[in-house]
Formats: sequence, C-alpha cells, structure tokens
Amino acid sequence: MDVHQEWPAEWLRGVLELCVLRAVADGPTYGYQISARLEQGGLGKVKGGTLYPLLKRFEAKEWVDVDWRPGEGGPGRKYYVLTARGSQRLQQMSALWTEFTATTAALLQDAGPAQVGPDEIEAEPVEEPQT
Amino acid sequence: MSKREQKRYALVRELAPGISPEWAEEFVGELGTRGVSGETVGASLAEVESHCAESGEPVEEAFGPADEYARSLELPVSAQQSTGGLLRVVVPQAIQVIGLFALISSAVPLSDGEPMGVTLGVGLNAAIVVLLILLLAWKAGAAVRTVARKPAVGVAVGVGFFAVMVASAVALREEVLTVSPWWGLVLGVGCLVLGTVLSVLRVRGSRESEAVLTVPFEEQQRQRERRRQMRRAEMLPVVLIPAFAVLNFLVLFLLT
Repeated sequence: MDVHQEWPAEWLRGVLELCVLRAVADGPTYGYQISARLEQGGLGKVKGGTLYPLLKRFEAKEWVDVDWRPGEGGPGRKYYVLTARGSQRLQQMSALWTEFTATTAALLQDAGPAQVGPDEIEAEPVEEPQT
Repeated sequence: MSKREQKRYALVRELAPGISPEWAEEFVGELGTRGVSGETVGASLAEVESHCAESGEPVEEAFGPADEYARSLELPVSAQQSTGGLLRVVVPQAIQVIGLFALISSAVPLSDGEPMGVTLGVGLNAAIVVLLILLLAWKAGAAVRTVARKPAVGVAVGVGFFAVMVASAVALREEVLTVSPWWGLVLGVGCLVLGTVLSVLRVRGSRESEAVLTVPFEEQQRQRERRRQMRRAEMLPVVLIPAFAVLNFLVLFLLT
C-alpha cells in the first residue's frame, strides 16, 4: 500500500516549500527530478501544476538560480540551483520545522493513546491530497 | 484536425510538439492576454513539455486546466505591456487619429473656399476617442481578456460606441468653432506627421518585440522570422492611418 498518498493535503501544502528547497539543495536539478525525489522520499506524487508555480515563486524571491540545458533527445531542461538566500531560508525553515514537529510530538504524547481506546475513535475518511 | 485548426495550432505544435495543442494554445493565450513576454511564456511552455516528456503524463493530468495553471504561475507583465509601455504605443496613435479627423474635416471647406465649422458632436467624438484610447491603455489586459472570453461583449461595446459617435455627430450640429480650413489642414498634417514619426521611431527603436513567442534552444532563424513578421504587423496601423486620412482628404477635396 502506498501510504504516502494519504498525507492530508493541508499538511503537504505546509511542508512542500521546505521539501522542495531541500531537494534543490542537493545540486542542480530540474522539475521532474524534484518531483521524483519527493515521491521516492515518501511525500507522494507532486503534480507539475503544484510544483512549478512554487519553483516560479522561488525564482521571484531569488532563492534559486536557473539555467536551461539541452535535454536528452527531447526538449531542454530548466535546472535549478539554490542561491545563498535560498540556502539561508532552508536552514531557517528546517530549524523551525524541527522545533514544530517536536512540539506537536510532545503534545500528542501528552494526550496519550491510553485516554482514548481504538474502538472509540470514529473512522474519519482521509482527505485526498491535491498535489 | 481540420485545416483551420491545423493553422490555428501551427505555432504551438512547432514550439511544443509533445503536448496537446489545444492545452498549449489556451496556456499561451491566457498568458498573452495578461501581458507576459513571449520569451517568458515560451520558457514556461517548454518546461511543461519537458516535464510531460520525462514523466509520460498527459499535460491535462499533470498540470490541470491550462488557464488555471497559467494564472497560478503569477508571471510578471513585460515592460512593453506595462502602462508606460502601452502609453508609448497609444499616444502617438491618438495623435494620428486627431490628425485624421482634422484633415478629413478640412477637405470640403477647403474645396468650397468656405470656413471650417467644428460642431459640438465632432468635438465630443474626438474627446471620446482620445479618452477611450487612454482607457484601453490603462486597462488593456482586462479589456483583452473580456473580449477574448466573451466576444459578444466586445461586439456590443463596439456597436454601442459607433452608435454613440453617429448619434452625437448627427444630433449635436451646433457649431462651437469656426476657423479657416487651412488651420484644419495644418493641424491634420502636423498631427499625422508627428504621430507617424513617433510610432516609426518606437517600432524601429525597440530592440525586439517582447510579444514574439520563443522557446529555449529554438533555431535562431525561426525566431528572427517571427520577429520580422511581428515588426511588420506593428508597422501596419502606423502606415494605414495616414494613408487612410490622405486618401479620404483627396477624394473629398477633388470630388466636391
């Protein structure tokens, strides 16, 4: 079962910017490679209609530099490279995200699974992510 | 696909053969009406095609509706399509239109040797035309998008505008100004020359039209060809307005 397809869409929207920045940080990369990297990493399929507007915003904020290179037999590829400004943003947001997940984890632990039995939890359908 | 459709989609099929031409045409059209430069539109189209080639997904599945995706990119308006850029295009043309009105109005009085009367209707129409041109320059993108989406609105506004012009010229015949027809001739020729010179200088001076659609790694020869075509298209109204004015002047002057 591909559990990654089941992440709630709101969570993905919140974390996508950070994950894409991290994927770009690995070196010059292009849209499809970023999308494949996110899918392999367990985030699920990020569609072009979601990914490229985000990359366009990165360009506008000068978090990435771009460079067109000829493709292999097909159309050219637009490569993205993280700038110093993008790298700084990645570091800031990574630290903040780590703190956030630690906070939520602590909150969830405090709530404690023992307080509510599994039979008492109403099965809520998981919303399909829009990515 | 019919011959008409083949012609309509010829450019996008040439620039992005790997994706649906209908999707590509809508994408290019949406960004074009938003005043995005041809180079930026072409690069975005190439990126879409590249992604579809790598992923093997149909463009509609990977990117959704073309117009929504185009809007989501939030691409900047090109310098030539900004309000300042549009004013540089329309102000010389507004001057040409004023010259056209003045020159044609002077033909009959010059031929008859009588003074030239400017009616309230003609004065009002000239003011309306200039205001309309400035309004279109200010809200060009919105106007183009409205007409592209609802052609009936464009036709209705055009017919309404023409009706107001005719009604105003017929109903408001009171002469507000009587001048020598030579003033009309001088004003007409002066405005036509000034407007034409300014327009020609703008078209020749612009390094290249930003409206020309180009994609990365395209043959330079094809790009140059399209730029030449665009420049000719830009030059057409610049030449047609004075030609129309002079022709009308000569016909009215010689036949009355």
